[in-house]
Amino acid sequence: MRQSVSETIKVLINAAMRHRVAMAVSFMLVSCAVVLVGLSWPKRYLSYTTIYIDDSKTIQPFLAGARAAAAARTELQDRARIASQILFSRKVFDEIFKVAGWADLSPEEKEQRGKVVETNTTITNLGKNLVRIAYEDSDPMRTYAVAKKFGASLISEILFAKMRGSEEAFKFIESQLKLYRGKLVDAETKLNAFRAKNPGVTPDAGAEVRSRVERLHETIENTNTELKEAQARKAALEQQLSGQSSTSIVTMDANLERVTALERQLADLRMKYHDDYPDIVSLELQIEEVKRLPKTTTTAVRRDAGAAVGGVDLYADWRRDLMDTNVLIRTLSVRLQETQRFLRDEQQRAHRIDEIQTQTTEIQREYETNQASYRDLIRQRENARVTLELDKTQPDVTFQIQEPATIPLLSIGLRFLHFMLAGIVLGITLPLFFLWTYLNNHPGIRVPSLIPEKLGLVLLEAIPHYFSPRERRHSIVVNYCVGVVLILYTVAYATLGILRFQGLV
Amino acid sequence: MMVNKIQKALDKARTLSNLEAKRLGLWSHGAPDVAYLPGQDLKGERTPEETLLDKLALTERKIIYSEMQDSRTLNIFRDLGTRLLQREERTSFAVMISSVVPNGGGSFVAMNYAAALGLITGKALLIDCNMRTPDAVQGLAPAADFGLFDYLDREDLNPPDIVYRTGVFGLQLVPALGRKSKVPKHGGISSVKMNVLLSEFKQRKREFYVVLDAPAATTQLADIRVLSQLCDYTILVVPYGTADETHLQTASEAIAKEKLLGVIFNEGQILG
Repeated sequence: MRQSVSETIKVLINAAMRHRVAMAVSFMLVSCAVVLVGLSWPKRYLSYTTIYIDDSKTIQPFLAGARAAAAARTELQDRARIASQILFSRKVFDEIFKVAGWADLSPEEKEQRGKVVETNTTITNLGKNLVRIAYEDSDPMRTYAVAKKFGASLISEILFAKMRGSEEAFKFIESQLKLYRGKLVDAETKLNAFRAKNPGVTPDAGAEVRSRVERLHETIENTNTELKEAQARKAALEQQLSGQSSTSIVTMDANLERVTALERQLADLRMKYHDDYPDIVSLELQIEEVKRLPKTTTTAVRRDAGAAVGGVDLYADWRRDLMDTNVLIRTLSVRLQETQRFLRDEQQRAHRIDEIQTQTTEIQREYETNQASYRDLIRQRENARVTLELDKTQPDVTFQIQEPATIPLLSIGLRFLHFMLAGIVLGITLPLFFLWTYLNNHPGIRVPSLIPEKLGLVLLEAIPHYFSPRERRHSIVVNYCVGVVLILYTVAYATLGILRFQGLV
Repeated sequence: MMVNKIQKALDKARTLSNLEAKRLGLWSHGAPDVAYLPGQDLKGERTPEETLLDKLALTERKIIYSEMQDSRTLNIFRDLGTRLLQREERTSFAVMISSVVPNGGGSFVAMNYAAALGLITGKALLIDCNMRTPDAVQGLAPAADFGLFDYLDREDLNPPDIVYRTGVFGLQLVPALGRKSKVPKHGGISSVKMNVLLSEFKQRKREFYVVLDAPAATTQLADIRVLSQLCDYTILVVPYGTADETHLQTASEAIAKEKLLGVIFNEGQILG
């Protein structure tokens, strides 16, 4: 029979009232059972300590380099994991067993107990720099002792590890320093040796050679120009003195010499005689004749006659010039050859200087790199030394107990109060649930209004129960009894809770 | 002759009843008279004041009375009676009241319905038809010699022979007085003789209201089916929790629609 929720509740309450004795007894039985379970439920206590860990100031930042950075990053991320690795070690567990009073256990028992302790310990990251170590156990004092010991152990182990780390870092830097010192010395020696092997190869040598080469080039060019000029002059002179001119000159020379001789005779005669002296006239005629002899030659001679009139000196000058020019040409040629040889030498030298300088630069660079690394390592070593000294002498503020462990007063998990409340809730709901199940499985008509609704029959009346005096008395007695028993039970229930709270039960 | 015999027997019964009543302290005086004598009209249908049961006795028997404390129950039954009386134009009728399932409070409803009619009209007759479980209303007429069973079993009894006064105002009773193992010779409550009896009661006198306390419908469905035909009306009683829809459906289908007045829901006792 489908019913609405409110109707179901109404029916349920009605049914519960009808079976109030059974309900009360069920309530008491269920709540009592739950409370009994609560009494025997093992108590669990939790104590925790919070450790502040800031390793940003430790040696890791000084170790510039991927290795250290990666290591530092890993540590930041997995503090809790690292803490658990540190704490769940045999060394720490031995200390824990001492404070927990389990020092006398056999190794097997210790092994098992260690696993239990591991299970009961929770290590969590609280934010960036905090690690929380929580331990739970059945005994509050032991819980406290173990949690406290865990905190102390973590700090001491980390400090120990840190100092060892600082020392290792220092040693590592020291070894690196040695390595680089050797390298630096090597490079320096190499550089010096090379320089000694190539003296005069100064950094300016290249420039000097280059300027010399340039000058030589210039000289060659000038010499070439001069040579060409001399050669041109030579060619011109030779042309003047060459082939055709010389034959005409030769021919002209014979006539000229005759004429000259005749003229010389004439001149002599004229000094002695008048012009009408027959010899003079004859000589004049002869000269005329000689002069007139070959027509063309005469023309040619006549043409050159102007220049060559005084002629022989010019020719001699030309020949002299030619000779001079020839001398000049030879001189220039020799100079050119010499200069070109110099140039070749200088070029070879420049090439060699370049090579030497490249090598020098390489050696220099290697030296400089080593030097820089060396300086860096020296600086790092100093830092590491400071850190190491600090670790050894000063108390560390980067590792400290932020929140010390406390003695747990209240147990965790399900406490007796929870069982008491659960007892009441279950004591009410369980019987009601069973009643509801019973009502569902026995689908009798319990709501009069369903008769017209479901079956379409006329509901005349719903008649309440007519109590006979005996029934009324019985009902009253039952009600009173149930009430009194319930009150007594509640008082006992509360008393049990108070006694438990005071630790008497 | 026959009448004299019966008269003697009745006289004897009266004496016994008187003694019995005195011993029980139930009756204020006198024995419950046979209210309905053969060949006569119903006599003394109004029970004399002094023979009425007192409040305590009525309360113990769970019977309503006018000054009762629990006026709700009284009003409900009175209202039920009034409603039927207002609806009915006839001066007499027979109402069968049957619980849907056994122990459903059918007798309680029938008895109080009859008592309500008695309170209103002073002329109510309750016929206890529970011959198999005859102890429900037996106490109303403790001195009764004959009941419905006897009437149906024997030939020598007339309807008035089985009618007894009760200590309840305006209410007379035909007790069952049956035997569980035995079936009456002339048939059970669905027999012709039963029909005759009912007709007799209804026709005897005007303004006479008969209430039949019938057995549980689902156990004697056939009887109920016939008996409802003999009556003018039928009321079904549905007790809390024990009857389901099927029971009610079956019972209601056994009864002609025009005869089924309706259903009374008996909330029953709130158990301890």
